[in-house]
Amino acid sequence: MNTSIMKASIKKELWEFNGMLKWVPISLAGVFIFIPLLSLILNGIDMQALLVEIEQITQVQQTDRMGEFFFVAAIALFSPFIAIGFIVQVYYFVTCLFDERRDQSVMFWRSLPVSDEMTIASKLLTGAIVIPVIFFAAATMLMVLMVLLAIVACVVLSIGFDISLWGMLASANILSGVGYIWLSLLPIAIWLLPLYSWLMLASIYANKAPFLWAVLPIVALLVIETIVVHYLHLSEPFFGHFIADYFSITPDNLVNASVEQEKSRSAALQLLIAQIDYRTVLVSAGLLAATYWFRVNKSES
Amino acid sequence: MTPQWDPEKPIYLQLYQQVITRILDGNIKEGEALPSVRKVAAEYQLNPITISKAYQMLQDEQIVEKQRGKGLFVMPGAQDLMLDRERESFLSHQWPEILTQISRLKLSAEQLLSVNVNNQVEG
Amino acid sequence: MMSSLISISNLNKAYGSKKVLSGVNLSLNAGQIVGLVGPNGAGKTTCLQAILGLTDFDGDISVLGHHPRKDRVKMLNDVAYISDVAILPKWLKVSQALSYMQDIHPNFAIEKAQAFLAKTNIAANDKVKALSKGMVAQLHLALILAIDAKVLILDEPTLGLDILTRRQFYNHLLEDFYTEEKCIIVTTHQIEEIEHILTDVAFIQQGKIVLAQSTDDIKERFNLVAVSNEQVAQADELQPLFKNSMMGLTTMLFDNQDKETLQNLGKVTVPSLADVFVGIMNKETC
Repeated sequence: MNTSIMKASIKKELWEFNGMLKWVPISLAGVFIFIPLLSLILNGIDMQALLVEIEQITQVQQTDRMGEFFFVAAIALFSPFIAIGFIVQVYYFVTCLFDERRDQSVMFWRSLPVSDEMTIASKLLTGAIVIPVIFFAAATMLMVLMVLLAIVACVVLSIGFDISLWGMLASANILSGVGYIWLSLLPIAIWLLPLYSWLMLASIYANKAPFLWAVLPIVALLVIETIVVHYLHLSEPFFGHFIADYFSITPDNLVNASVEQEKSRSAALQLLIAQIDYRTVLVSAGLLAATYWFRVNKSES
Repeated sequence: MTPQWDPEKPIYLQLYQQVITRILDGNIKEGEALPSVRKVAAEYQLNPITISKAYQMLQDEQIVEKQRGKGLFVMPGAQDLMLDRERESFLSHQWPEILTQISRLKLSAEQLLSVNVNNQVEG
Repeated sequence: MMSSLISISNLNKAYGSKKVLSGVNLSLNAGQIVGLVGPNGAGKTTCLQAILGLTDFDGDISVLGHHPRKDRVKMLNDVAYISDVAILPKWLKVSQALSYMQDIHPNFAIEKAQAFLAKTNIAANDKVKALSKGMVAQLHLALILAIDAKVLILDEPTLGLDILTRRQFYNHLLEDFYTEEKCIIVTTHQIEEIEHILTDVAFIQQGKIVLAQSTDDIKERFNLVAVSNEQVAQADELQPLFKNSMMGLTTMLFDNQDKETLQNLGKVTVPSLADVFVGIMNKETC
């Protein structure tokens, strides 16, 4: 695999979806800055509540719980970015092989010496890794901003009020906490691979409304399965349960997992990794192979 | 600009003729370079092979010579050579036909000479 | 001296039960500028797409020694394509197009493209959607010229363009692109416009090649005769391909007839490529 061609191909994907990938993360970060700011301006600072909070932190700051506390807060900060990033990813996958057929630019791209495998691989990487990275980075920058604000607050407090909250920063294990969150990027990508490859298949197969092609067959399958199970008195709707089970991880689960268990932060990661099954990876490979076949054989309109 | 080509004669011959006429009229001077095959092809919207044929004919007739790496140049003495050749061709082929036509129409020398070069009848 | 850059033999293609190409044989040698001419639906675009490996086919095609489907990427290093269906995407910026081509194409000389674009009104930051049709054609041409491909495949490249842009297009093609080692295959509806640019022509109708010869040979083979009414019956015996009566004279197109015989029937002139095309196409549909 030629890395410079891969880089150029990913750059091309980012150029195509440039508007969305720039403004959505920025707007989201903006909301995170703007809303608290607005509330601050409108409501002012409640000194009492603030003092109580500072009191709590001073008590907790020397313990291990600070790290936990921070991690939970970090996940809370990252979650909206991950969630909205996910929506953007779904949109990307559904349109990445559709738009170029609709505006007929596919013949232009395929007249260039870039192999179809490279094209599909670059789109997969863009959607599964690069787009989440962009959203993670936006969240991280917001986090950096907040840490900076916290540092400023600590300085103000220790100089002005002789309250030392430095322990908070020290024991919060900020770097490793954020590091764990970033580490989850790859497991999430592999876990969601069947979804991504299914969306890509719908994207290249559909002549119109690729999103419907992605959703309706699944819904139809679930409905049919439920009916069959019901009327034939079979044990369980296999597919339905499988889907529910596979996609059952939510930020809540992750938070609970990390709070309940001992090695709290890696627990979330382990939960994710546990969801991955070699069979789903095989299914993903099959779906990608089908996508490849369609691109090679059915590109002409 | 793309000239209108006579469909009866092969284009490369017409091109050959055109270069000769230009040399005779002094538009192309001796020692001057002919434009490249590509340039002529692009300008006249012809395929380069046609141009090459015309240029080859000019070379064979020793009207132009190839200077290595620089292109085709009108040979010294080409104008005189051309003048002689065209004169001979005119006198042996075209003039006899015109003479026949003149006698057929019973034109007098006076009538003939009253036409100036721009085809206007004087007087 | 003449080497075959593209050779097509027994090319067949069907969409379901509909046969689009039947037994097409064609070969292109270095230095040739071949026009593929035919009515709509004759199979021109399909034929070109098969050469590029954009569609599958039955038969043998070899482009610069490569199989268009199996060796697609390698082949495309030396082949360039302009088509009215290979459209530049609207969101692409000129600078992005140049940058991308430079990264993925081993033969792309970015300075050439930039030099070409400098003579136009196209700015580096323009998106394709901001460019007029003519400018998009110029941009596409700039990209192609910079590739310096050995084989150029043009499918109606000047469709919908004004005459100035069309002239400039062929101008650049001949001056900046063409060499004797390259070959060009072009389809167009405006046969009169490129008649003199072509070195060879192939007529295609209903998926079959009806005629494939050099333009020089065609000029010698076919003759147009203006036959007076009295001699029409006599002329008919020689089986003209095409007849057109107007103002007391019938113009007839003859194939491979002795020139002297024809001169006895009327004034003999050399037909234009368009005349030959119309004549042959009519013959087939009669």
